[in-house]
Amino acid sequence: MEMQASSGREIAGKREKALPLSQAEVGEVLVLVELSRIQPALSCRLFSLGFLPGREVQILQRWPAFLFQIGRTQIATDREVAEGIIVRRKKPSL
Amino acid sequence: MKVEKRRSALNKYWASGQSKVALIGGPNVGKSVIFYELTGIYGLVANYPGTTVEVMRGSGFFYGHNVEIIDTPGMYSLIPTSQEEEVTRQILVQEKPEVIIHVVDARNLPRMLNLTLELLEWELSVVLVVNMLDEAEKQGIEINLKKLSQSLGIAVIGTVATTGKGIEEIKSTLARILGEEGFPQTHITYDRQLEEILEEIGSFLQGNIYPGKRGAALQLMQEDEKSTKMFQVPDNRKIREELLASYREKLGIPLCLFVRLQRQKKVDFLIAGAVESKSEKTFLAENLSRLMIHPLTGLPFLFLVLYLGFYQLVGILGAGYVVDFLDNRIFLGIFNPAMSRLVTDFIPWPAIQELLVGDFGIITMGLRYALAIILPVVAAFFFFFSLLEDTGYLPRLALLLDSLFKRIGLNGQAVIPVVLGLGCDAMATMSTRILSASRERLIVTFLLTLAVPCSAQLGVIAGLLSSMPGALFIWFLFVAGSFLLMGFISAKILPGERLPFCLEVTALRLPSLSNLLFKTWKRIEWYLMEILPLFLGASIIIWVGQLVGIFELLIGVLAPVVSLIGLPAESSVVFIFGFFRRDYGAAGLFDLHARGVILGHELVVAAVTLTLFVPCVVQLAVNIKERGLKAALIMCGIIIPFAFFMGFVANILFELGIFTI
Repeated sequence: MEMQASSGREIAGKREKALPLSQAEVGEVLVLVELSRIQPALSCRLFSLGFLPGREVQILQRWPAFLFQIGRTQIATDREVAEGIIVRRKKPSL
Repeated sequence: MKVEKRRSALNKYWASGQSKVALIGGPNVGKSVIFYELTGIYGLVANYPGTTVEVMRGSGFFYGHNVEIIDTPGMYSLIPTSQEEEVTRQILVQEKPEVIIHVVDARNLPRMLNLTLELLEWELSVVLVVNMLDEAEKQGIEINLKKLSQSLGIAVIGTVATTGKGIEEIKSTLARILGEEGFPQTHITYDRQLEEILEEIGSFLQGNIYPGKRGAALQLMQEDEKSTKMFQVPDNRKIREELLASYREKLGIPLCLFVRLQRQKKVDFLIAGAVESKSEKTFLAENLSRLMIHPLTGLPFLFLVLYLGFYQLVGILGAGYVVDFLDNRIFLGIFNPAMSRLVTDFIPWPAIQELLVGDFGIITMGLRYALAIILPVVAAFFFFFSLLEDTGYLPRLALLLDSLFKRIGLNGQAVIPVVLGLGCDAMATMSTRILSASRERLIVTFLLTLAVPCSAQLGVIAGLLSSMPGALFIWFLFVAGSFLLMGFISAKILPGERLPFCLEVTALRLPSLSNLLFKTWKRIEWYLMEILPLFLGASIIIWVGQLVGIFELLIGVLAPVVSLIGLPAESSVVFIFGFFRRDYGAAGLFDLHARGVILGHELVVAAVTLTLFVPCVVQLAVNIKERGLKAALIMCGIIIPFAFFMGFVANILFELGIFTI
């Protein structure tokens, strides 16, 4: 719950357009902004797996489940989790 | 339970004059192999996050030091997010090992060293083991171990566990630390902002707290009441909550994230100059991995795996050649006649003769079924499953099937117990501990009990029906249909939300044959220890039943039900067998078919009913133990009528001519 409260503020503070990871394309490299609407226990797990704000994440696959790469770690999640991971594009398109 | 008792007895034995050392690390970093090399005891090594459910213990004697080694379940962080991580933290807090060997994957230091820092926050004596140096080298990662050791202030040892490289250095380092040298104190400090917060929280913590005031303060920042209980922090909850809330307000992000960001920053700082990553090109393994999970190639690949594994290895080789050889040549040809002669020559009492070498005798039937028919099939499956585990295919399978499993109230992670259930449902039910919610564990247990045929059943049934591909298909339709239907219904009925799916997909690797064989052997050993006695016990029960007439009575009770689904009365024997062991029943079916009692479509009806029928004795016992008596009985109450109902439906469809084979 506390995740959610802080997240709104965080997004508003960013200038680049933030989007959920579920909306990004395969092959895209994005920068993690924050986790939102994700239960604390799962947030903890994601943090441990390297989902930290500022790190780069690449989308390897979207279906039948999402597959991401962060550093040397690959993580599979479903759509709901991917929707809760907020990222921004590396170089904002003009 | 039994295992636990045995272990606690061992603990007592070891307790005198032994130092405790715990092996800690993430899943799939090679901990279990190192454990084996240090102790000579083999724990199950698996390339799947979270398979080492049980804690292994062993002891070693290094340069005059007697050491107890504890192999802990894989953990990502000291803030537990699963039962297994909880177990590992319990071990640290309750057993207080003198030295922690933290094993990390050399390819992923920037992530893995976070846990090293967490361990150091607890002021534990940590030795860092950087494993899989060879793999890292192949990927162009260079690690300066000496530099890393200097910046962390602890011993750092590079290993290639699978070849034994570096193991001797672990032993000598342990001996040095446990001996005169003692452990160097090392202290990791974070940015001033965090340090000030820690100091302030620490001032509220009184008395002797296990991981030290600073460690406890860090845990409190990241967690909640669980830490409070664990570290027996005096109950000044209000102050603490107000305090933590004010920090949260001030920092604008969750405290847990704040701490992790600080830690990651420190890790990046510490490894700068010690780790160099040169290339990031795609490797063969990576391409193969993509192939396994791609929507277009993933399913064909899965069918190929199932075809090779189940059909060729388990079916043709195990259930075909090996069973044929053992059963016909060894048991029926040599062993049984010899034992019959021996028993009838030396034991004059007919009842005892019947018990030992009669139609349902311990030797002629119990031993023969267990060793000649079931064991080869199960052994072949265990080998196949070990291969799936060690190559790292399982998490990919989980990814592939996640959306299907969502439909039945589960997520991809439940693939593992289900696949294991195709080997042994009882073993699989125990492995549902890797699932994080009790609702999921309940659904999986129910489906395993109902509609996942174990390899012994699978082998016999496939063998019986394989001459009629249409029959095999109809059987599959009924079993898979029941799995999905009942899964769908239980997902609707059982309260609770389905859990999010999030799983690390660990790197594919080439398994070592010796590892595979050893693991297969360990599982066979488990089978012989746990299952064989039950087989023999069932023979005794049937013998007693026959003597007092209960057996005939049961067959008589069941006969009308059996005839209702269109089977000859004689086949109710099979269901009675099935009550003692599911696969036992399948083997009985094999016998009936061989004697020409059940033929044609009756075989399909019997196979469907028997597959769905009541769990074997072991399964029932495990269900009671893992899910409780009430849940286990309710499951049986649903499964028995359902199995006969499906048999009934199958029979009607055959009689009406809708199905033909």
